[in-house]
Amino acid sequence: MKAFLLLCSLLPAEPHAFWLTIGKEKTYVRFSESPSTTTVPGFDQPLANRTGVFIASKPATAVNQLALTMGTEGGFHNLVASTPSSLQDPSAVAMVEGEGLKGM
Amino acid sequence: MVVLPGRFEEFPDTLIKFWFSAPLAKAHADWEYIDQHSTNRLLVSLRPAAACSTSSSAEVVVSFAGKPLPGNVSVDLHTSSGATVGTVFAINGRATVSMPDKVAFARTRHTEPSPPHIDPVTGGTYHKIMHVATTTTNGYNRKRCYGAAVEEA
Repeated sequence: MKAFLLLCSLLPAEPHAFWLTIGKEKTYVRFSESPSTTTVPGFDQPLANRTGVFIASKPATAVNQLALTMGTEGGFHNLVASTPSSLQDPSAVAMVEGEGLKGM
Repeated sequence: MVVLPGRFEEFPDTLIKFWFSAPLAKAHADWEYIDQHSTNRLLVSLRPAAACSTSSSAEVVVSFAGKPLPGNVSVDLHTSSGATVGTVFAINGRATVSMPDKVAFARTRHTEPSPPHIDPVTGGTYHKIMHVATTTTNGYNRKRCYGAAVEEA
């Protein structure tokens, strides 16, 4: 245990991050150490409630919010939505982004 | 209490906000539309430096509040499998990546001083805001232009 804590103290501190991935069928938001799969810590419901994804597809000027639901991957929660048809077009040009408030 | 690296207990009096993006672009000019519609306070993006089919480098762009982030900020780069492939330093919001075909994700962070405010989540008082931003080159259908495709999970 002491060795583990020593190792932890030597490692640089880096907060986890939110990662957005758009697939053909599903769009995922991960709160994870890894960008490509859900690891610790994953979402809990309060954090999910403070997370949003927003899309604007050219040429439209409107920005729409994606409806996210809680999913599970690797034993941790992520957020999932059906990928909008406007993003499935290979020629699509779109602003796709989001935010989440962790707090202190 | 055991405090582990990467846990938020290490950032006392700091509000943490996460920003993330996965823009879809086909041509360099498409970024004008994306930039016009983006409202993320901290934004990192990876943009081909030249024509998609011939470009061997990509530009890392970091903006804060809609403007290039001044100074020197590190940007971590990851492959589509999540492996770390290195770190670049954006100077005044710009850096160049010479291996865009391997890069699928990028992450940066920026700490913003703040007058004392009440955290709406915890009720505590914070004096700083840590912004953490990521981007995904995205695109299951953008492989030729924007690096390693991120396939559906």
